[in-house]
Amino acid sequence: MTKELLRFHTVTKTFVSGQSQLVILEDLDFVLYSGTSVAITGKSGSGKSTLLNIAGGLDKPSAGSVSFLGRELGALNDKELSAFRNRHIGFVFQSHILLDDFTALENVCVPALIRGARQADAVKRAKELLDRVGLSDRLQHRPQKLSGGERQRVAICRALVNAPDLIIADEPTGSLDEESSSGIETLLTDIVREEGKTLLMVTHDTQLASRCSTVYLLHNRTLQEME
Amino acid sequence: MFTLKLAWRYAFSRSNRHRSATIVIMLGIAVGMLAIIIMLSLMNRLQSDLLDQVKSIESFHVQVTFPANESDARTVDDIVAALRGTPGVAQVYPQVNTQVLIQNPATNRSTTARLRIIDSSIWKTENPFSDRTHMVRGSYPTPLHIATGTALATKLSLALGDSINMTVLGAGKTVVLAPTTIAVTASGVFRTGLPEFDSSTLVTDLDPLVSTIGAKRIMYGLYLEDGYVDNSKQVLRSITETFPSATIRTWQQVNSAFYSALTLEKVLMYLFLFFMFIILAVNMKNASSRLLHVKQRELAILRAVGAQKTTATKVFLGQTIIITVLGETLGIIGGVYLGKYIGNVFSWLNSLQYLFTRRDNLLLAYPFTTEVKAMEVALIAISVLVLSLGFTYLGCRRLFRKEPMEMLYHD
Repeated sequence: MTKELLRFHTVTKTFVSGQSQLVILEDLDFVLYSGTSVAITGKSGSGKSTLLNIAGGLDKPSAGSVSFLGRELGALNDKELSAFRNRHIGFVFQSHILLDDFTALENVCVPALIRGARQADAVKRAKELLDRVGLSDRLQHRPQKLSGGERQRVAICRALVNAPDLIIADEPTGSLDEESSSGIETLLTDIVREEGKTLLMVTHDTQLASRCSTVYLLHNRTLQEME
Repeated sequence: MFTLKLAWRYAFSRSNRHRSATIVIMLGIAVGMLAIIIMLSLMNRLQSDLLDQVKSIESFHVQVTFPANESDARTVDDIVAALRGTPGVAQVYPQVNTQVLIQNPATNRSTTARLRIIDSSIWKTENPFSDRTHMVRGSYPTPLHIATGTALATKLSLALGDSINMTVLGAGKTVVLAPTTIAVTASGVFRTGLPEFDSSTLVTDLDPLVSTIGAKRIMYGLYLEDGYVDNSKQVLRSITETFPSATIRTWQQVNSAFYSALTLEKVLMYLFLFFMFIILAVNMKNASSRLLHVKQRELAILRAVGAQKTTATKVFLGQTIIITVLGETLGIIGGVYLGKYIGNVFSWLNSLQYLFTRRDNLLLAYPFTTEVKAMEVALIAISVLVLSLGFTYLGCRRLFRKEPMEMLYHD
């Protein structure tokens, strides 16, 4: 039986700019179960990325609450929230954001080292992951020397290095060409399935969305499940 | 360890934009430190040179005088022996300082001057006076011969061997002092480096003039041992016990006006340095903001993958320490090295000016040296480091008011 991993309870997110207020999410209820893969689609500016950021503890709701494995994220202090992100969440951003001054191998190691893993263990795990995504010959390359698809593969490995419960991917193929996109889609969904992880992903790509067990449409500030 | 590694990488990022920023900031700190060290060490040396000259030539370390109306059977030699026996006293020189009217019949020039009648032994023994007084022409004065300062000799158009007339106030109580004219021969010209001294002072031997001037007008100049020069309380107490009626004055008291002027100058110098420091601090604040700004995106990534605010702050504090300490080290090495050869630098600048103007620059021609005080340098270095860390810490705090995603997309 799958357990409840993430719950949004009447979450509202409002952005204030000067005198004007922009409501992005309103009284949103949403539950994510362990081992599932969920895609969220919707128009640009509909609040998909904001939803992911709140889910991953990178942003806070203006009202309502978010709980992860029963613990409310709003009650966590910086230390606890950082540890939560480090151990339970793996982020894959749209623009394959990596640390420019670090090699592919070091980029993958960073979350493990922050967790306090031994250098040798972190390197071993990072090498395994990079080998699995076909980058064993690119270990010592810096991001500037890698193609867009390669950088995104490094980002996927970084997201997985601490074996988190939830992988959050924000349009992971958004900045890639068609060929690279196809490879990343397969890699991401396969690796998440093989590792037994939960995937919460925002995408415009219908083909990628169709690989997920559930697809939601974010429309008018609320989520609607699509058939 | 991981934090330190990150800090080092961030300080010397291979990304050109960031590395050049780091190098510019480091050089800025180095140049600022170098300027402060040179400035401070030049002023230190100028001040200590002036004070040393004043102590050694103008006033000795301690002056002892006796009341004119006191009847005392002790001879000059007795008093010298008693003072010399006081712990902490290195040497004792009896002398008389008095105003004289001096005339050179050969050139018919005359002027007032300060006559220092002193035991001739001061020229022959090793002491601060003889160390700092250089005979330019002729020889030390023997009885009824005089040596004059360079500027005074020029004023009188004095040649060696000229016989000059010196009108001095004779022995007696103040109200009955009678002028006496003495003929003496110019035997030498000296230079001390103190313009005031060189332009107004004659030196002659004490013995033949004691009876004319009067023993009661003798002042005993004391040079103290090194450890007692600036801490002479114990010596003064011992002298007072031996000579209860004596008037004892230290070099600070004798030159109080000059000493106050130097103190004021030092305060102004520190004020000037303070403003230099403010300029350096503003640069450091801007540098710190710049370093944080260029790394904001990466900071957001670190936060997203689980780095706490404190961890990220430590990374940037580490980066600041690396850059500041390297900049300071460069500045200190450069400052000390340049200070060592500052005379050559000024001389070269003087030559350059001469090339264009055919004139020497008096200021640049001065034989400048520097005196670097380790404690002062350490204090400045620590202050710069603390300021840098403070600015970085405040910058991080301001930055962390943003959520990681705001930082990530700040561009």
